[in-house]
Amino acid sequence: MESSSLKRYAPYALAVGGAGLLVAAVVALLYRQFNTAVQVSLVVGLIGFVVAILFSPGSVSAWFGLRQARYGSNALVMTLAFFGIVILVNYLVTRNSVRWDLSEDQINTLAPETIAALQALPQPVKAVGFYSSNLFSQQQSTTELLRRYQVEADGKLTYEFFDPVGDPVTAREYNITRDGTLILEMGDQREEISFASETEITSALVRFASPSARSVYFLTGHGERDPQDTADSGLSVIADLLAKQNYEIKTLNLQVTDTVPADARAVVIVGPLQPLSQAEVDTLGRYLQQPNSALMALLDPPAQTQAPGETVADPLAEYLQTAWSITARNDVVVDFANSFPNQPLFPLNAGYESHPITDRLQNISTVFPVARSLEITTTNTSLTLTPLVKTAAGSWGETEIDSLNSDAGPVAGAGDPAGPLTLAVAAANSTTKARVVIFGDSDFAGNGAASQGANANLVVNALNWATLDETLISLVAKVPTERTLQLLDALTANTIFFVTVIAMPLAVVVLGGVVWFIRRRHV
Amino acid sequence: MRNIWTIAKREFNQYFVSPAAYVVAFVFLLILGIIFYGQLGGTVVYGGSPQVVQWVFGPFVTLVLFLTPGVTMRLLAEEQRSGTMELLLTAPLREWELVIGKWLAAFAFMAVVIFLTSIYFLITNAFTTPGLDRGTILAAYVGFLFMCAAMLAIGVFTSSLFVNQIAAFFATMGVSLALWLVGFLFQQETGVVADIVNYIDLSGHFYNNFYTGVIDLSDIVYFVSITALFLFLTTRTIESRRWR
Repeated sequence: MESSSLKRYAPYALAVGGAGLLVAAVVALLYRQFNTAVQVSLVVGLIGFVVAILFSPGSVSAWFGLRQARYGSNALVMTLAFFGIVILVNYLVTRNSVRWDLSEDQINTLAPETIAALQALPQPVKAVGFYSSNLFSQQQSTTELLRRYQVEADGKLTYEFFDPVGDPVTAREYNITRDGTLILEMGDQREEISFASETEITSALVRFASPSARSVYFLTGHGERDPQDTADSGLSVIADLLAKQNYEIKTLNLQVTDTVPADARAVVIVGPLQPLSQAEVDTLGRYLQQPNSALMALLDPPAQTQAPGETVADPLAEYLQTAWSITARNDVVVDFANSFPNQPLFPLNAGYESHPITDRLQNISTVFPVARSLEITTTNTSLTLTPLVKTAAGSWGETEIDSLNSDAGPVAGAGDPAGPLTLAVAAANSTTKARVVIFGDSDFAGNGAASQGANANLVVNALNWATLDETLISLVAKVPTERTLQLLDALTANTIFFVTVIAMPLAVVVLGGVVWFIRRRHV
Repeated sequence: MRNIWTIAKREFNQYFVSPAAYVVAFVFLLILGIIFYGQLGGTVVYGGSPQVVQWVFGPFVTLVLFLTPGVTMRLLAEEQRSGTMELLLTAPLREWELVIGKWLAAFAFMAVVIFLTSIYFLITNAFTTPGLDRGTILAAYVGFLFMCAAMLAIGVFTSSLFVNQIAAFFATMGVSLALWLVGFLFQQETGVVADIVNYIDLSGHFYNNFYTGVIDLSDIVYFVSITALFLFLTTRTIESRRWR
């Protein structure tokens, strides 16, 4: 059937075939998907090859008749078979891999609580991370963490990442407002995680498995900040973040009821302008006798809420002092060095104390406009009290409130508590299983300041910790054993330098010279 | 097996009579020594725990990308250039025995070089309280040996393709670098193609697990597969000389 006229076109058909495959490869690489253009190019390429063979079948059979072709095709088949075996083995092992964590602290191993949460998942979960190139190392650690989840999830967890800068459409679709956010999705449920950690991810998975709403009650009736309010003094920024983590935000007025609702995971008090009554505090006290109850209170200095010279009893402050050993001092924190420029009453934190609330804040600063200091007075054996945020050593708690408005300005006096001062405390009662987090300021959580540094995250993390499921309370970030390097003296350091930088490389050169010399003598 | 052993022993000895091996070892130990001492000093001054796995294996991995082509470039290219390949092929010796023998010699030489780095861990451990995390170090060494085995197999393969050693050197470096960097193409993407490309990525199999103290069976299988695959291809290439 072969005709010389058709045979003449065979090289052209072959060229079309090659070009088609080339175009398909390039387009697939550019668009990163198997789209119509790739499919069409691929089909054109294959048709080109088939046509070339049909136009010149003699050339093909002649080639196959060659000795090289026979051996070559034999080698090709063997190679393909070997490739196939290798791919199959790798595929099977990857699906059923075994891991051994040899690190002493097992820092690469997920906690049993996490594995139980993964096994209890009713549906597949998808994790979607939004990390720009600026947060590459953070994305790497999140990827590594999610990979460990994936290994244990038995196909129930997948993950993908997007660059919120390069792909703003997807970021908008997920309502992403912060770089470095991780979204977890299961069916219709969605949780947003600001700082990916095992505790945060597992907590979200546990909530997916038992989707009861996390109701938190914001106290009202004393001029507290409003979670709905979008003004600078409002809390809508924090409320939005909490809503993304599936918190149901409700309000509670203890002047009209003497019980805290049974579904309350926490009561939140943000900047009351008037003190709570004794009856209200008693109600809170009864509530905090229940297991898994929680209180988060952001209390401004009395100087901010009371008239000058006025001294009003504060039953809540007294309760915190007697029941929780936390004293909210009647002062205003002043810091001329570690504060907003020319704003000595706007102190910044000087690092964070180690606690699940602060461990993931990665040293991002928080600022507390007009704050009071807190003091951990005594230690009760059933209480675990942890200061979270401290000011710098140069700060002090000004108790002469009038001096704040004087021309001379505040000066540290003998009766003023000296820095570093505590601005936030987390406390857990091992007997009642209740938790409280107290801040000496509420302005930092208001819309006007919530976006500053890690202010909003500090509040959200605090509420997450306070409402953490009791079964997950032991699931905290693993801290590797601290290993310290101590070189005794200069002689030791010099000896190490001599051995590693001079002696070892030189020994190799000398050895080489000796071998060369011996060989030369034998030649 | 005796043939493999004979060839491996002969090639291994060759490394130690060649000045190139000593020069390579000198440069390698000098660079690692300077980096190690600098990092050690920095940790003493600024505090922090000694991250000796990162200090040693971080730069070591980069150096190995240059070291393995240097170690393997001669193995088969020289036999082809000098014409001794024909003699070997007529000897009572199978092609795969020749290939594995050559690879084994290169691997043994690399193992000696890798062993020398243990001095850095011993020194740091002596001055660290309560000592270094030995499990993490062991995992890193195991992973590094597997990775070197794979890169040496790539080197043996490219050496079989060239008569010129310099060409073999650059070809090995090119293939190793390509496998090392291929993951960057799809590092922020997911999907089947990205999964396959990321699985092929040589660096990921070392950094994701071994480097952090985890031994994952799939990583071992990957490195063994790459080693076996390239040694198989080398065997086929040498075999093809009989009928080409």
